[in-house]
Amino acid sequence: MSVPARTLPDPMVEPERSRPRPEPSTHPRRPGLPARTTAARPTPSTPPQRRARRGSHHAFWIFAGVVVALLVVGVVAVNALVVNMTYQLRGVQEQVRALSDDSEDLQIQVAHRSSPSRVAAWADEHGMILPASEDVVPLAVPGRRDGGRA
Amino acid sequence: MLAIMMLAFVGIVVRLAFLQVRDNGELSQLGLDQRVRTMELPAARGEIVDRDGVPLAISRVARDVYADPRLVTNAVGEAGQIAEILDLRRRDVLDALTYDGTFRYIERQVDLPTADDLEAKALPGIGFLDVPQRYYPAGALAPQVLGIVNVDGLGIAGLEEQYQKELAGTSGERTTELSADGLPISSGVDAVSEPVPGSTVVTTLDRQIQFMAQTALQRAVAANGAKGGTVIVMDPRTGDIYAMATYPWFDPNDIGDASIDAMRNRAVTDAFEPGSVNKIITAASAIETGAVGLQARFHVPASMQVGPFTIHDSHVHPVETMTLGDIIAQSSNIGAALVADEVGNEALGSYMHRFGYGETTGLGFPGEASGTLLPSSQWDEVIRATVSYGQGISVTPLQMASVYATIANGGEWVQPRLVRGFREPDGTFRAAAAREPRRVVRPTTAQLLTEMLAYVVEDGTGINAQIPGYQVAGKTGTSRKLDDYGHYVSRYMASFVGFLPAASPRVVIAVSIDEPRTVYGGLAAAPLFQQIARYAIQRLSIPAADPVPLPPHAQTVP
Repeated sequence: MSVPARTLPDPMVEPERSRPRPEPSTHPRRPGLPARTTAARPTPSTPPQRRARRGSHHAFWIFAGVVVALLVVGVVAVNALVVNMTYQLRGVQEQVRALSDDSEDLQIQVAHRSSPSRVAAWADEHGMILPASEDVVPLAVPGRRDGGRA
Repeated sequence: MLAIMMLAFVGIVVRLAFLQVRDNGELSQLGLDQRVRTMELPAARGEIVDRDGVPLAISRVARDVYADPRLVTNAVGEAGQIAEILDLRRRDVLDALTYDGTFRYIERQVDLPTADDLEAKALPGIGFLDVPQRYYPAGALAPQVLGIVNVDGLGIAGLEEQYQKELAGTSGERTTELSADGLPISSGVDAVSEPVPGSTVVTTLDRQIQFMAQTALQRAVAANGAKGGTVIVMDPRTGDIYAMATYPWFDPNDIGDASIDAMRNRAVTDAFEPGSVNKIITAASAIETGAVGLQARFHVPASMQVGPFTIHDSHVHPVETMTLGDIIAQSSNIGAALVADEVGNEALGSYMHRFGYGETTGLGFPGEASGTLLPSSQWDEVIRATVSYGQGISVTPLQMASVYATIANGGEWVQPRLVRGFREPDGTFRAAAAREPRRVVRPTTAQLLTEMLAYVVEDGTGINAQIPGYQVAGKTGTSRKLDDYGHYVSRYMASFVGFLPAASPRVVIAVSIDEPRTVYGGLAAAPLFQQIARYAIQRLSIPAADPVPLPPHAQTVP
């Protein structure tokens, strides 16, 4: 964090302590009245030190404004990014859901189309018949316990 | 004047302090309540799949159609259009549109294309809600086993009910901050607690075997002019049930016209008198206790007086000499009663309990029956005789299949199961809990029983179950049914239970036909067993095995 400029000692400016003090008035002070020092006041023109301090204030406010503006822009940009990503994520989730639904539909179709009753009905429509039980003869080969199967 | 201003200023400060300090929490909450909305995110219901992972029950999106009658501008005109698209009665729709309130369902779970058609009309006051709908892609495949859900997605029958907790999952919620126009504020609150989907229930069912079992059962019922029937196909080594079919069935995708009776899984929920298939337990107890040797010979008449009653064999014959193997092969009621006399009440009753009679199988299926078996201490000679050949007791088809699976598994009982386990949403598999296997009879006894059952098919009442190249072991059964008052009537249940190959069983099949025209199990049920067994051989790639020897016998059935 930066330190406010006005708290920093200006190396170009002589410390106040070294300024020449005005000469004390030679008139005797009336009792009961504060000393009038108007004649001893410096001229009303702005000293160079104060001008320099005011300049540093302007720089600070400009800098702060820029920082705030950047922060606002940054926050808005990040927020927009988050929103955009959220929409993209939802889109992807929708795609995943749609694909899952498609997959389930296909599974159902496979199970339905391969069901024995449907296959049998289709075969029947196309003139196929199941062999009568007498027409199927399991072969038993002597000496082979597997009934001749490979 | 200054004092008044100071007083007002102090008053403002005090009020500010109250608002900012004392009422801070309450006011903040009020503000949040105005902007923040929390929505429930329903969990996706888990699937039910077959043993290969193919979905048998799955959830898909449908739409509920509702009306806000305040916004309806032309109730009569809209009712006509809605009734036509949704295939509803116009009066019912009009009632909904003129309802004195702000919300009324018109139709629930409308399929998406139909709902889209209606939405395209842009009728004032008509709204749509996306909702999950249960769908059974294989149609009427094992519908009584899978069960159904209600319009709110709650399982109310079958596996859907049994595993409601696992299938339902856990709902999540989404908290969103909304602007005045109801749109989400992008940088506002957006907290999501994701729902946890339900687990997938992995069944033991084989889609192909189930279909073939149903097809064969339907044909057999039609061919025999029967009322219905059941089929169970299971692996005796693991207890896995490949197929469980009950006819008549229903289409779970269209349960509007289904009868309650058709929704019952009779293979599990209905107990019946097993008849002669029960004789194998009589034989098991005789062998295990040593009460009857395999070489022992009985002189068996066609009928016999037991107490005040006369019991008969199924056909008239002269007094014949039979071994235990002959009694089973020819399915002699008199022979079984004579064997039971040797075994005694206590031993016979004990073995029926050990085979699982009188208690459920542990399947956990909703409505599973335990059957009935009187304590042997209450048996008299009549009950002992009738129980020996399967009358006077009742069991479910699954219990009977389990008896034969125990014999096929070398005498060790394995719990039948319809569910292998659960696939969690993270992909891990959790096996379903099951009772520990238990030994019922010695392996040597199981071997002797298998030989007797092979003799039944080779040279007894079960010859219609023969399959060239494979040795089948099984038993026929014919039992009279009871009326509502407990009296026997002239209606029968024909059954056949068996396994193959006899020496190395891979599959047990239990078949029963309800009220067939030809009442004998060997004629009505054995051919159905054979058809299903032939397909199971192909489907499960069951190899043939060397034949087991036949038991000592004194008779040869022509």
